[in-house]
Amino acid sequence: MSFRGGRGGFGGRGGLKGATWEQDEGLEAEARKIRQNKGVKIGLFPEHPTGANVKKPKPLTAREKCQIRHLKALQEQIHRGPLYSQPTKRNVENPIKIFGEDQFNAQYGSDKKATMDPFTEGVETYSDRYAPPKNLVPKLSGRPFNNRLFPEELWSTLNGEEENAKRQKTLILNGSRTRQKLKDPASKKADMLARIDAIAAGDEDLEELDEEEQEEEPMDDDFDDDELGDDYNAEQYFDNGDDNDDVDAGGEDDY
Amino acid sequence: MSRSQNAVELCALLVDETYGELTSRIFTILLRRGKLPIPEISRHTRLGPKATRNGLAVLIQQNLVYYHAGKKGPTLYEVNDGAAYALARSGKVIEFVESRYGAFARDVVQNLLLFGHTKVSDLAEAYASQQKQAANGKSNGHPVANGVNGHTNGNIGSGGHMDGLLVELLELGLIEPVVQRMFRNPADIKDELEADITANEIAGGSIKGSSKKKEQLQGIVDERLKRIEMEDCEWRSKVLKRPVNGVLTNGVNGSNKKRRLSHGGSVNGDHNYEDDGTRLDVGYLSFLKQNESPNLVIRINHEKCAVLLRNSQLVEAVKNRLGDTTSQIYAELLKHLEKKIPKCAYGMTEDEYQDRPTVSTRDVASSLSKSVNVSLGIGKTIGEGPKSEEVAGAKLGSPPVNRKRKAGDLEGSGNEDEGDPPINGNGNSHEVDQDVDDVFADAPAVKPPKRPKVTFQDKLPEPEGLHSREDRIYHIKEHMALLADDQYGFLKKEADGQARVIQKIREAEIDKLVLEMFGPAGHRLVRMLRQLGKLDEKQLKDTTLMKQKDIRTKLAEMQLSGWVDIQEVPKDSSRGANNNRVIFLWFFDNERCSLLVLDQTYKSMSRLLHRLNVERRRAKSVLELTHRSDIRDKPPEEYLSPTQLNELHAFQDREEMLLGQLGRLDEIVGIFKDY
Repeated sequence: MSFRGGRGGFGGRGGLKGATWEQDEGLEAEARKIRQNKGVKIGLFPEHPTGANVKKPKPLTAREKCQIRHLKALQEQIHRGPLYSQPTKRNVENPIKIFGEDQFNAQYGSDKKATMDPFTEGVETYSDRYAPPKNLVPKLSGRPFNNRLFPEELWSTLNGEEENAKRQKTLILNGSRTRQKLKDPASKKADMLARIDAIAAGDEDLEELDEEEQEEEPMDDDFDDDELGDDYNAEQYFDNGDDNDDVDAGGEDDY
Repeated sequence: MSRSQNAVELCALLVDETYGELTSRIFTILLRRGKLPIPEISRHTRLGPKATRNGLAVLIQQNLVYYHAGKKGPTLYEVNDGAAYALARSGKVIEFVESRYGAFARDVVQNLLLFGHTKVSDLAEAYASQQKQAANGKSNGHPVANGVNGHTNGNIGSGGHMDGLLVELLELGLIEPVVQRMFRNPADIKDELEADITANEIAGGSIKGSSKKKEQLQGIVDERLKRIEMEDCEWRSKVLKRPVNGVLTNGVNGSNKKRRLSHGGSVNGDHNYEDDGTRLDVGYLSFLKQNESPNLVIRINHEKCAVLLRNSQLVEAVKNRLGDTTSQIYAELLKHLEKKIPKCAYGMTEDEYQDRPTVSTRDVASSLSKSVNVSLGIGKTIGEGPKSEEVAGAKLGSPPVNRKRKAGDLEGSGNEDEGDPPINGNGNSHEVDQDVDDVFADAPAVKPPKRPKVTFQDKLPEPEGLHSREDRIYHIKEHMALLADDQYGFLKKEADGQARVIQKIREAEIDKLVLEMFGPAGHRLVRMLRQLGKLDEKQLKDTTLMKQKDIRTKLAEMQLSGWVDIQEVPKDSSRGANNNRVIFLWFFDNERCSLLVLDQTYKSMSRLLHRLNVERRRAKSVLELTHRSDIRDKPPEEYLSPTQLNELHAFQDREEMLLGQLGRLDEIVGIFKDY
């Protein structure tokens, strides 16, 4: 203990005004003297807090290397698969301290366009087409699930994923489907016929139809990227215009 | 169950590492908040409903989340942190399977880990497509692509081979059929049973007295739980009944049934052995199909994985204490037992303890590989002779724990230390350590061992007319005696008491850490306190033969970091500032230190993962290149410039180091928690 105190004094002198970080010959000579006198290893610098015995770990054994290789291979596979979701974290370089849930959530899911670095990633390059797909939400459509083992409220998510997405798209493209039907009596007729057929085929089908239609309503569009992306689709722009006209016309019919 | 902050962080990081950010966010919220329904999860994570649902689906698929759909009210979700932790172990599991069952099994298990719980038929399909890919030359990013290819090519079209393998793994218990029950928290199931029983049976019953009620309740609950488990097992054995026989006969290597089956198809000489297995299983394949077995949903059983990994840990411990040959025999013995041990905590309760799994020496002898020279590693006298003890003492310095070599080990110990370089870096502590060992470690050796000395005499049916074999058995018996006699108690007559062995290994691990952190003096104090219980400072001074001043500083140091603690015993009712009337007792608690070590290990594991992320960001430019979809399956030497290649290799080295350290820390976690 006493010897540690002495070293503290030593360091104190070095910390006086005017002391520089340059190598001090006199200081080193003094240290050498102490070293010789005491026969103890004392350097200019304090020892590492855990002592000079910061040990290197044993080299990895062949078995451990094998384990690591397998772990990496597995992770690689998972990351390439559809279930992996890419990070969206903001400022990864200098993370802030997090005190609450709000702050925790705020660091994710930032708008990519807002935080983009225009110098490195703004311009699309040819090789971008080879970039791994970035899915923010795991894709469930690509593989079979055993519904039996999932809670019932997730079944629609597991199965209907693809169908729902398609239907949503059609909904968006046509504007409002119901209004269009009102306008076009031929299509309405066809629809009715189909319904009658369905009734003839069996009640269940009809019920199913109804259920599916009900399911559409509560679906949230917040996370549908396609919809956002379509804003700049010129073709769709004109389509929408047509639709709007139609709707207006339909409105006139009604009146 | 309350978890420490570090455990929470580690689990979240592991999920993030494996399944990405979205899932990890959901998982973290569930870890922090407990059971939640979907709307609540959305609210806390600020995720849209679609994202939440998809994330939950992934988590359930990988069994990282329990759920419970009550008859009324919303479905509640809850984390399964055991499974999350198991993510860190997947590499070890795959390696284990590969070393025992070969590359094909490796692939299957890897797919299972990749997909979560899967139908057998789906797995077969996935495997077929993978094979096609492999045939096309895309080797799926395996570094050992060559080996994989060679193997799969040999097996193309043998779907039966996979079935056979699955059956074997099912029998081992490494994979298990999934039933609805597994998606609920076991504690929940128990609670519900308890409530049910209290409401229906005991409340209406005639038992009086709360303690009696409690006892009975406990009894009934245990019984029910067992029944539920039995149901699963029965179902399993029904499916597995015939294949089990088949596999066994295959192992014993002499059944005409096998031959009869193999006549059915065209057998080409090259794959003779393989075909035997395949045909056999094709026979059972039809049987499995009858039972709708392709619809069987399977997954990796992480509890069983822990058992298997524990076994390797035990073998390692034996190797360190008793030598190579003995450890090989012990490994063989554990291999016999592992099928009967479903989880690590098995044998804790009375009933289970009664019917512990056993194995006879003869079985071990018959299955032990002929290449093992059993006559090595045993001396003429066992655990005897002060002279040889001294000789052993000369080697005592190198191992970090107070390993006391049996005299008998000396013959075989020449090559023993090769794989075990000394962990203490400085020679200084060696000498003192040895000193300590001489004074203290020998003390228990003088005392009579707690367990009666075990001989396997009565268990050995003497095979007549097989002299070499008899000899062999004799030697194996000697090894067994060594194992049973050891202070750790690796083995017991007619059973193995692994729970206590783990306790000993835990102690050894703590000893190692204390020695590293506080030097030989601290190590000495800790061991003294462990053996003798709570001690006064004066007594401690007398027994340790150390200066009081040294003792005080050491103990204070250790108390600050939580390894030892003080108990205050006042002599009279007034406990004021007057210390004379109060006795202070120092004590050391193994359990407490285990928790301490565990928590610190979690912390360092999550630090390693953080570090790994930092390294990844640094090497980002190269890594992005290697992840491009057009070149990711090619070796990087082909398309990277030398500087980039250097950068990549530097990163890979670091990654390997970090992951290797992670694996080692995981072993510690295993010792202190799971095993």
